[in-house]
Amino acid sequence: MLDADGFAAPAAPLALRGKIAWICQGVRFAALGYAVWTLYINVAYWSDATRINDGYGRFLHRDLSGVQPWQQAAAFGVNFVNWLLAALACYGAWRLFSAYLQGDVFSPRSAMWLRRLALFGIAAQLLGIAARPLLSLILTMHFPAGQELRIVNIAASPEDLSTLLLLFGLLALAHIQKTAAEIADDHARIV
Amino acid sequence: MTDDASFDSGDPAQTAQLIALNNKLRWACHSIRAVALVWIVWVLGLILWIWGDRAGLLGRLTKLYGLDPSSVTDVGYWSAFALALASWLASAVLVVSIWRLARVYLDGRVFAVDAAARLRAVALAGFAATAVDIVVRPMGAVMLSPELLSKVPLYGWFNPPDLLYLLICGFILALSVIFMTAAEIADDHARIV
Repeated sequence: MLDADGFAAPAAPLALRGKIAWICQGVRFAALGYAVWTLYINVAYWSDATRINDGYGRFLHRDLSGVQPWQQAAAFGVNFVNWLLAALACYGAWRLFSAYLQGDVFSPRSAMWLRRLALFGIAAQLLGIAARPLLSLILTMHFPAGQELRIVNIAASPEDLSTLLLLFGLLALAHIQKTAAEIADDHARIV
Repeated sequence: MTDDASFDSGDPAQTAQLIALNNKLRWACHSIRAVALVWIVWVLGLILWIWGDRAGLLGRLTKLYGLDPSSVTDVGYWSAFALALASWLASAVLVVSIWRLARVYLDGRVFAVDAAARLRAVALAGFAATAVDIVVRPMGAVMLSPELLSKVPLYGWFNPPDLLYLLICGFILALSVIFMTAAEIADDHARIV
């Protein structure tokens, strides 16, 4: 039997599946819940001009009460692209723990999904940082030009770096797992 | 491949030796160690830089939350600084656990029970560091000036990055439990065979 990636799906050892099924299902549905929850947060936030003024207005030190619907839509669009990358990372988590559920724990296939998860997470984090100047510009475009009220805000925090390092750690873990699984497979084939 | 990659990998000692000698793997392990070390030194530098400039820090708190700088005593300021250092120590424990995990990988024991145990230690140290950070923030604010407690919004105490760290630590913990279970079953299987 081949799965969507063309890998042969191994028959999971029952003992392993019995012990890890609850945790795999838990992480799979947590990933799904996280993706749905962050989409809801985005839709709720960017459709509410008062909340945008309270949050972003305070952050940018600008009165954003006059923000236009097209600006809300554009800002949501930018965040939606970012959400798509985060959702792909969640999909990676779903596939990774599905592989574990099939008993495919120390294999190149599960390492590959761990790597994809980390890469999409890193891409989402980097896009989130890069989108901040664009968002500040979009949200202050309704101010008249030349009054210094339109701004391009460039911001990065120590938390951004810590999150990126954690995600790079996962990427390195995937790399180690993949390399070791390939060596173990090759060795087993030779033996 | 039969049932599981962990069940048919030949002589485990020989496989571990082959893994330990792999250059790509060694490079990845040394990179993790170097990045963790640079990160913890950078965090310490950041703490010293921020707290070393008392006027600048209090000025920012005044601008953001309307803090009265004259309400901050010397004892309160340096106690809050000591708390920030305690939070850094919790992060340093995380770095030590990452180094210990990389050591096991460098020995080629990637799919072993002790590797999974050390991965679990990394996740638990991450949880602890995040929890200490969350608790230290309001405590430090009270030491600086109790009025800050009511002036700083809720997201100043618990923010989205905290939630993300907790999620990532939970994810690593889940990985470690699965790796440990699989490695234990593989060990039992090898013993029976």
